[in-house]
Amino acid sequence: MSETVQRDEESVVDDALVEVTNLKTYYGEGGLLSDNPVKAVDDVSFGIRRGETLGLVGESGCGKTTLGRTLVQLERATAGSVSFDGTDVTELSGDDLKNWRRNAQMVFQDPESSLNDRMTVGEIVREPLDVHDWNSSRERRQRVRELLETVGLREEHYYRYPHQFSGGQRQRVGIARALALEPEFVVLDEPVSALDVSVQAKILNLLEDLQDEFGLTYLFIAHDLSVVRHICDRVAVMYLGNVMEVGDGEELFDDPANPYTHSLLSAIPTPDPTSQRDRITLRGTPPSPRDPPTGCPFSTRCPAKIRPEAHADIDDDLWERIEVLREILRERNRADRSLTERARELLGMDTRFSDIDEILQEVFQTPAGTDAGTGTEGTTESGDPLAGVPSTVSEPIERAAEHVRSGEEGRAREVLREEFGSECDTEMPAHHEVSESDRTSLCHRHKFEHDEPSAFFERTVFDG
Amino acid sequence: MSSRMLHRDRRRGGPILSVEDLRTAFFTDKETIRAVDGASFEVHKGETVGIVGESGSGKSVTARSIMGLIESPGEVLDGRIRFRDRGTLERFADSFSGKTVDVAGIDDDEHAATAGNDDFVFVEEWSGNDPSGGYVDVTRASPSALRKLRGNGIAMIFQDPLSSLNPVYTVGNQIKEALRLHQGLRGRAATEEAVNLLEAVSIPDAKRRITEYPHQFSGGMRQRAVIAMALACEPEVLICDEPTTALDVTIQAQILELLNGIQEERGLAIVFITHDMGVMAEVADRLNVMYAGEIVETAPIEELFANPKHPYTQGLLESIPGRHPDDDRLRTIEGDVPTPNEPATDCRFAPRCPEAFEECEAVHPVSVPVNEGTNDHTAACLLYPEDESREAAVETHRRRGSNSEVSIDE
Repeated sequence: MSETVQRDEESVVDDALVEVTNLKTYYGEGGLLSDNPVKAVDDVSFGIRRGETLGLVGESGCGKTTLGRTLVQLERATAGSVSFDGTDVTELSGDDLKNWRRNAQMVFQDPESSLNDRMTVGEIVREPLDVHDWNSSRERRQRVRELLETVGLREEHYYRYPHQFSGGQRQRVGIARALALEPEFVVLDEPVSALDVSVQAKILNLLEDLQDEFGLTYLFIAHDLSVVRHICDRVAVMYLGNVMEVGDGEELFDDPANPYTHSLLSAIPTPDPTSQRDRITLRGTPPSPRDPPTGCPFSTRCPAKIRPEAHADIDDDLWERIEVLREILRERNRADRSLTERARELLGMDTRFSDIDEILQEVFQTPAGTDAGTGTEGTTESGDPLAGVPSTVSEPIERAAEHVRSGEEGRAREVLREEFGSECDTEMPAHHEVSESDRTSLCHRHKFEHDEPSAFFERTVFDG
Repeated sequence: MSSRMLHRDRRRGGPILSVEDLRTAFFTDKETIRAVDGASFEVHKGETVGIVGESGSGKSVTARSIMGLIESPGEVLDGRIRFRDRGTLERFADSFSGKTVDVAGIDDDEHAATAGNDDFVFVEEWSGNDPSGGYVDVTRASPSALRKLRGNGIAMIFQDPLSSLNPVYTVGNQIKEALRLHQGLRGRAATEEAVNLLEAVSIPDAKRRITEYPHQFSGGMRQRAVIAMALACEPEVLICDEPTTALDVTIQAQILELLNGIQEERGLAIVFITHDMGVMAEVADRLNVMYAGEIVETAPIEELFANPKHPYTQGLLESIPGRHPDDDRLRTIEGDVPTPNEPATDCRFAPRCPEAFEECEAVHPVSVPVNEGTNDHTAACLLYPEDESREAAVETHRRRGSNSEVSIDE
């Protein structure tokens, strides 16, 4: 069974099969017209031990698929290295690369689109063998039959076409194809996301059996955290191209260190209607990877963001509103302006971008909803949206608003950042070691002068 | 940041929507697929009723039948979908007076016999000359009536927000279209209302956002916009067909919170369809489990998770990763979901059922209370009622099954 080999936590990092160092994969770089590149994977380092399953989780667009594809060299890395068994595979090319590809295979997410409908199942599974000119054709056919049996299909399925199979069976075909060349390392890109729970359970069991039988090393990409928790030994959590936390799976799920991991875990619905867990609901959506925040990648949504000394005591509701205002200004910067709008702007006409007063009204005057803020609002129906807000807060906001009115939204963002920002906004945090099992987390809060994220959440979210 | 709301006793008054013995089939050259085969459930004002099942179990077809969205080669063959909303009743009795039938004092089962072929507005009570009680039968409604009903009475949001939005119109235009059609708002008033709606679904900077196109919205934002469009029609019942399946967990949490808030605020009845048991546990008050076109178990959510009775429900819950953290392997249900293409004469789950016995292949189970003490937990399985002897239970199913036997002409 699996625990003897795979769950063996004694294995040290130098038994790593895959070692990723400062890996970057950017899209849309170079070329005359290139703007900012999309930083899909931005400086990522971690290792995958031989025979283990490393889970890679994160929201869509966080770069997990790109990372997986880069590891098997389906994408070219922009910088950094991927060392596989001691060889830097980002340097390989031509025949060397083709030969190496036998070692690393991939199973794709969507079994509907990853199989060629015009080929029989047998041909699909045999294709990698043909490409690498594996033995004689009779042996190839024999091998395909064996493979079909290995993944729980039948030999006679050889001559059927993919459309004759259900989603679960098609995924089995994809797995058989990936195993054809006896790889050591398989990237599983959301292999069960498109399947129903009961089918999903069967595929997960199959993957575990295959790992035991062939001593495979998996990179398991998924967004379903309960699946990851079940199948993975170690887990890496990605956000906006960065690995926010990586370490032992059980430990990470039981006692997450990073604020993002906290939020992600608390967002999963538990299949237990009596659970009364408190939830951290994140505001907004992840920023664009074309224009990531200067400091910590998670700083725009982080519920545990460090506040500057000067504003340490303003109440949470007001703080939240300030963050919303900053988010709106950032969002506007991203929104593309149409030609007419640019023209109107040049002519000094009113555009949809100029109504800062309405924004302030919306952000600071709407009732606080369910959580009754303390003291700061509910006082006014007056014209000034910032009435009732302490002057230490309203003064810089007023200054920023002035900049927006004169069309300098960039300056406005700067003013707000200087006033309400902290190291989270300006400095990229370091990977701090957070447990004895080499788990690391990317967050300023692990520095000794701040509260640990878990202590922070304990205090603010889960009290009472 | 907010805490999870507990959903208990949100039910107010009688059912606003009741589906009875709904049968919807798709006729293909090869076979007739009975996508929904005798489904019955009720939705009360202010509560969330869940429908859970694997792909192909008929959940979406049920939803589409309620919306009157079944198109050829599909057809609603049988059953009643009764929508009881006083406002809608008054409006319909007014604009479809020729298709309104007075059934005051007539026994419930006789309603259909009393009505003419085209009648679909049934008035059970009058106060003066105005109808004060009754219902609209969706299965009998004409296309023009359905168009009026969709949106105004019952609205639906789909899994993929991008396909429910038109890519060549701005989001604002699309919301305003809904406002124009259903509330008669135009021009500045419509724009203002559209902004309010976007704000109601927590889209910041709404005034700018309404001038943007769907592709400029993120996935979660699009689903919010679709919800705003559904709300534009002020529906009484909102059908959510896998509304969060295409979204990330953090965004899913936002949308679920939003739906919960809207429901509290407007007293909406929600029919929530998903295959994710975790989401279901979070949102639903009552849960219906569907398998091969039939509802095999119905119970309040806490009860269903704590004491699943039907072997299929048990299997479904068992196969969720994390239910048994100590087990190395996930528990699975053997076999695949069958396609229901014949009238059921046996239990459709029997070939996969670990508890199946001989009669399971000969008797079609009907929904019965799982034991004598309860009436809000039913299962369609020969093992129940569990306090009867097996022979007696099988006999109950056999008898009730033959009473309600319906033949379908093909």
